[in-house]
Amino acid sequence: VNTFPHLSSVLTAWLLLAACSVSAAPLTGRVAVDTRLYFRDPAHGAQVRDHAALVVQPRFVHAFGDHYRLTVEPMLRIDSADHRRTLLDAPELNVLYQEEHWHLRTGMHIVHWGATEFVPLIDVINQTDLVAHVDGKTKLGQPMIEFSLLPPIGKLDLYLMPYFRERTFPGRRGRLRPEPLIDMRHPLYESGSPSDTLDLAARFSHSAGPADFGLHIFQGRGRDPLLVPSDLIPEVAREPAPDAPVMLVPFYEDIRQIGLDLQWAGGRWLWKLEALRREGFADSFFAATGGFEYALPYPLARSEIGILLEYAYDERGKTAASTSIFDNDVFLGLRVEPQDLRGARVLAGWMSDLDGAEHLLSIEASRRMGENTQLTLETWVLLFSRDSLLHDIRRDDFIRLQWTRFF
Amino acid sequence: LNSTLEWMTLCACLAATLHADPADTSPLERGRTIAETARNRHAGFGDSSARLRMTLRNRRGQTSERTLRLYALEQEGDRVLSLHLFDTPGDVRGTVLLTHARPGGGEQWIYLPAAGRVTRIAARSRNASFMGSEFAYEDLDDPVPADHTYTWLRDETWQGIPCHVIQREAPPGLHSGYSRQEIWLDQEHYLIRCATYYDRRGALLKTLTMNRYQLFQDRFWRAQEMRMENHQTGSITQLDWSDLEFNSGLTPAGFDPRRLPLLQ
Repeated sequence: VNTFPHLSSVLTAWLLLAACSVSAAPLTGRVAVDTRLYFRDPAHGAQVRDHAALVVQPRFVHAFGDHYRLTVEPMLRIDSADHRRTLLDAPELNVLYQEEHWHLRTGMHIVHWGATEFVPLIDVINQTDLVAHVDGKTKLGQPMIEFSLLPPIGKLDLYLMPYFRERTFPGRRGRLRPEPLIDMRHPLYESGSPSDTLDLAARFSHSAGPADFGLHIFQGRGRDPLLVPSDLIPEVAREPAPDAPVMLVPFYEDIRQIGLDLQWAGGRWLWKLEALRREGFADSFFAATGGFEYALPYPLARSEIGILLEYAYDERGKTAASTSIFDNDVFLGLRVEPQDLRGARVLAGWMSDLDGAEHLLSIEASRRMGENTQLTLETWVLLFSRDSLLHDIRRDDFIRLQWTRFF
Repeated sequence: LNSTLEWMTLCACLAATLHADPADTSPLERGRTIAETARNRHAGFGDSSARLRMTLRNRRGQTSERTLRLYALEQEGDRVLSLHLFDTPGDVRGTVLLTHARPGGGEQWIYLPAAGRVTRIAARSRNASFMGSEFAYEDLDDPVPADHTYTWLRDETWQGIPCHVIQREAPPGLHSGYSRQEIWLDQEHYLIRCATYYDRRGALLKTLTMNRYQLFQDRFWRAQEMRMENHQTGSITQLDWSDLEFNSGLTPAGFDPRRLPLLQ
């Protein structure tokens, strides 16, 4: 089981405490069954055809007086095939202290800064839970101290992160993985160890008239690893044995990132932008993603319809030093919300790499089945060329069927 | 002070009634006077909070229910700040909708707990459905009378209550989904008892009835039950209000987009 060290015991203690001490507590949460069905047989040996996961995510919130609030939200995921997808995490496990013009949060927490729909570019506080969803939008809880200041104008957030979490990757039996396998046991760091790191971040944000914007700086260990074939790593740095089979070793570099996010609403147009400049082990680079969402003026049979267009650019292009495949890509999306009894919604997206290497179609649709049950159907169709960096997952087009019960 | 206020209201009301004598005013002037009196009596609540249960029923008898908490704060210049916090159903629990409304526009943000971020909302169609209900966003606004054309149609009793019947037409610039509305206001307190909505082609679209009026703080009459029936689809939405409170000391800081993620 891929657990965060010491976390499970801490969590169990918290949960017991939560369950025992407050009987009339507002306990909410969800239980989900997430089934992945793949259209085609796997490309690599040992991979399964289909798999499913059970996800349990209770949420307990309790306020102590006017100033303190405890949030306990563990997440347990058990996968039928891939042990690397089985995970106990705590997206939220923190104590919040609030005053009128500032607050302090200590514990595990997830922070989203992004503005765009398709590529999660600037979010750098939390590690990506890549096995949860290949879209990279699901994050792992990050241990932190967050201090937020609300002066009359703007908002200043300061983050102190004393622990580093590694990205999750599929295991031998999992789909949507590269070949050779990723060596989760022996990650490499440019400096220090997971517990021996102190990452710092600050963000200033402000809402003015039709615009919201934020500026941030992050200094510490980057969340995006480079995957280095183990036979390219000097023997002195290689573990466990120089003659072990070749694997891809995640290499986490130390980075400094400055970035901005922007949302601007003008009539039916909503403009979005994320941009960053990152300095690290390799050359520094610039990356940006942005676009718009346009709300159609005349609802069709009372459906609300939005058209999305976004573009993503990465100065690194498709080099070995790149941690992203979105270097010159266009995204076209269609959002339909029929405003029916069951809260149905559909988001369809088409991604095209302008250099022709990757195309992708994704459709996600969801609706309630009863008052507290929701069904989500999602499909990804992958069209990758032979020289694509993602050629290893070319046979992993899938349908995801998720049943969620809220309580 | 309260009795002075009542006196003044009564005088204003009497003056309006006298002034609105059909013999010497046009139906347009009379309609406008009635609409302004109704609005003036409705406004001035400072801040309010309430719980809302929304029951949706379609033609086939399927129902769906959602519950939310509402907070509103009046500001100078006809500006209103409001918050909608959704409690049920489970898939929208924790969603917060923040609106800074001002005459002719405003700003709107939404916080979705699953996405964990505050996003702006582009101006949606004013005639779009509110949360899948038969209420459109424009039905939930308290329209500024100066923006609309009002015409007094007739006086008649509605369910035994003597009423003024006025017609409201929105100017093309407001992109209303209706060609016109007919509104029944009682002659005693100028409370909306019933309203009919006609679509752009002039056909009857919806009927609103407002029931269970209750007086708060000796000043504000509020309907505890609103029912909107769509005659073209057969769907009905009922809003049941509870726990209404006025002047509980809400401040603009509570309606700050920066604080949305901290709301529970």
